[in-house]
Amino acid sequence: MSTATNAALSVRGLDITLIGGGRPVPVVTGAALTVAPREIVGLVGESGSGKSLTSLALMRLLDPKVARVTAGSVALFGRELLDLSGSAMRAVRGKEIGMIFQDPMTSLDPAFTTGYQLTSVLRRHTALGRAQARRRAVELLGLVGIADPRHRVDQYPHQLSGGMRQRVMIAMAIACEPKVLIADEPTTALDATTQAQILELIRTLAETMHMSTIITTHDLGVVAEVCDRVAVMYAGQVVELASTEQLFYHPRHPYTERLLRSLPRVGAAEQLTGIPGQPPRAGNFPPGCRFAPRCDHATAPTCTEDVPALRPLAEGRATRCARTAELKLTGVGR
Amino acid sequence: MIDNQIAPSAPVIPAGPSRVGVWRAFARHRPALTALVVFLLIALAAVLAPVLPLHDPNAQVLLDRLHGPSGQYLLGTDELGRDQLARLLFATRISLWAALQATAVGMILGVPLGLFTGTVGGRLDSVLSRAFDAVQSIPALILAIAVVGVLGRQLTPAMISIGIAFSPTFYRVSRAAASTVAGETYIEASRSMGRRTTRIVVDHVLGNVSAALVVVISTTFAFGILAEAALSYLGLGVQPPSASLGSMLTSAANLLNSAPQLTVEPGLVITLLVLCVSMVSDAVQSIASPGGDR
Amino acid sequence: MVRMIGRRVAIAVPLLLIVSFLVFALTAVSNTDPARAILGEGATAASITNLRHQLGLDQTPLHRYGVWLWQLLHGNLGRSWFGNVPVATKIAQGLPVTAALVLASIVVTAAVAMPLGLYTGMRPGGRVDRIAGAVAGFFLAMPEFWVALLLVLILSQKLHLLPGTGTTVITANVWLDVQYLAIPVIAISLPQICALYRQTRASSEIVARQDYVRTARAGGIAEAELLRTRVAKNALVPAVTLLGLQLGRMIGIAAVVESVYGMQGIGSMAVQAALNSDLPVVLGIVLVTAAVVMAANLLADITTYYLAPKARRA
Repeated sequence: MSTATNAALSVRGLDITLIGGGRPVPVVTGAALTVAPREIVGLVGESGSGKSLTSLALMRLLDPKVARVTAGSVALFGRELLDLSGSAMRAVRGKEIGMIFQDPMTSLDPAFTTGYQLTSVLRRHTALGRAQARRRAVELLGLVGIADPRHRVDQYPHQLSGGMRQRVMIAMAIACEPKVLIADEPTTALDATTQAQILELIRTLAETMHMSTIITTHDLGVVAEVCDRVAVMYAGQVVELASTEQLFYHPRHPYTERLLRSLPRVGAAEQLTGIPGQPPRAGNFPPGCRFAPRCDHATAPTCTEDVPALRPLAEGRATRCARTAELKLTGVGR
Repeated sequence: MIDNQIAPSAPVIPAGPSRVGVWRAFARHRPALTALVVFLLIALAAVLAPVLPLHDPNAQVLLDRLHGPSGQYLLGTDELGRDQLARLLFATRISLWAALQATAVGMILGVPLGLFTGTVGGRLDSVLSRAFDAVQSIPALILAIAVVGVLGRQLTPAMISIGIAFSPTFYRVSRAAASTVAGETYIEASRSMGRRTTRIVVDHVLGNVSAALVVVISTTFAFGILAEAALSYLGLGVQPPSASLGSMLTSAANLLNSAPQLTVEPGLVITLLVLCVSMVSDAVQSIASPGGDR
Repeated sequence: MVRMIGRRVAIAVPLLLIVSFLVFALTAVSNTDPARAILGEGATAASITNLRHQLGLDQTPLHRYGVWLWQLLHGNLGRSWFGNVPVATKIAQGLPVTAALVLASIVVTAAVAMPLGLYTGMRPGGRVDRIAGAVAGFFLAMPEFWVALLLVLILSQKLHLLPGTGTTVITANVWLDVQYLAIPVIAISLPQICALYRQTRASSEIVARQDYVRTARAGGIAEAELLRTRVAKNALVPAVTLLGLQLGRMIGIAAVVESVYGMQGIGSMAVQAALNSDLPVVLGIVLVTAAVVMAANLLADITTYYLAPKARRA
């Protein structure tokens, strides 16, 4: 794990509480994650694991009537974001951190041209004039691989394909050359061919623009393809931190092992399936280890009563399994 | 595979709650329930006005002109010494009856046709939809005024024309509900089981349309109350000496400065009636709408 | 676009013909005699027969409809049965007053309801939202002409701030016009503001929750700019449609409010004509208002077309 001082983005002890339905319900507890400069980190988990909420929390974009950050720290190059004023945070959004959302069909405004949506972000954060911003918007559309950007800049989202819309959203996210890019399930809504292209685009851009990137996904294939390091989330907690290689070959948490086992042997890019039982929902998290009820290795009372901590194992490695030293977990074969 | 269990976006529930659910939620909705009770009490008093121990609304006691509220005249008297409370109740009777006429006409014209074309679709559907669209471009009050111009000063034809002017809304709501339901599988299923289209419509569509219909009914009813008052105020509706909330305002307008209570009271009755009706409709709407029941 | 306008006009013309025909058909079943109404109770049978012949009332409604239609094709709306003035001339006198009244009401309604609705829709449950919601529910229930009466009582008779009766003509003196229009415009606008406010608020609340608004927030766009641009353009589509429909209601209500406030617009003219059974004037006003409402709805649709690019394919 990189030390916090030279990290691009460092998340510590992040708690998120759902407040929508009367009684507050903790949904993410103690999320921790560090992204070094120019690193691509995957945040992996099933539906409901809290990864999307976590990524929104980093941008402070949680709907305050639905969910709130109740504890923790999010530091961008050592600067605490959770303490910033609303307007200071708005200056960070789009300028220092760019964000890509999962559904390109609903995430672009149907009433405005792609050009307008791009230039409004550009002009918010730069001193560009109208004509300059437009020229830059055309450039950006070209940069994200949209053919005939001069024409596309005046089109509305409904005139573009899903893949093109996702490219437009990427162009908006990188318009002001942010240092950090957060991509929340950037390929989930796309078909397989487009998925690969979009991932390749994100990786290339991250490289050429020296961005640190967080990609949330439920798809270990995505992780294998682009990520340097991985944080695995389960039931609102980060359960394992590792480099991609270590995670795949030497998992240290039983949940990770199960994830890997559910991957088909041939062709890595497949969805997670085949873990018996349902992940617990927020408000019904079991005491002790939250994975214990579905875990083959769980023993009472160690796993069912004691709350495991996220324990560092080595530089950049940590696991939230009390029995990790005793267990012999298997990764994917070489 | 998206995080929809915890996603902050609003849940989309395709169908509203069942009818029993609507009623139960409504019973829990305090303001709306109060509004319904108040409305029913006023309506009851108005319906029973002829048998209630009231003064004759048209009896003029010229010595008792423009009295303030007293034990004898609970709300005082008007400029001809008539009991204001009795006149208000008899006027409300006319008002509710007129609004009922307009609403009934709107329903009779709009609902069956809407349900039919919504289920069947096709050419008739597009022709009728256009026709109803077009009817809507004649302002309801202007149509009523024109009808009075031709047929003379009577309330019933005027209220019928208000109903005609509001029929497009009934048509549109029924048609939309019917065409939504018609596309659903259980209609296909019952059709394939050889049941008649009308039967299907009655069974499935009416349940589906009822919440939306409540809103249109209350809108029309509220406008009916207003239209009756407006037409009678203008001398185009109820003729003196019969009391109407509108005609009471006509005579009161001359005494605006000296006896403002005569102007305030009929207006308050109209406002109260319309307020109750619209509160009930708002509650039904918010309960029946997806994610409603707040 | 052009096709849309063409299609609307193509529907409008037969409708107006049907409506006017129905009005003539009603005269067939009517048991009031305009000639008697015009001449009064003391008229002799001979003079009534004479007038009936002059007015063409002794012909069948179908024949009279044919004559009226033929005149209409030549741009002639006929003559009033009272005073023998051309209907077109009468309408031309009253139209500016009603137009000023209704246009001012539309502008006031939109200017108050839309910004407020957009604002509270983005902050549902806030203090402004709760107050505005309660106030809107109440004012929505108040009959316009009663509000006009109360305003006359308070603003004119008690406080002497505004004139107590209206004007016959719109003058070049804007300040004077504003004073004379204030009470009827407030009375007509108040419930419409409430209705439009509710519509705008509801759609603003929905739009504010959309993913694309979040995307814009992630780009650092400030809330005020979001409201002015993204939310406004998306949320005002249904509001504009409603505003188009409200115009019709306003014209109808204007007839009552003009009468309350003693304004000589086409609304009070229609009321007077109805009281007099002055069929040509009634018919002329119905046609003109229906045409105006159709034009307004078309205008609303054109506006929607520009606000919602996705709908343009249709």
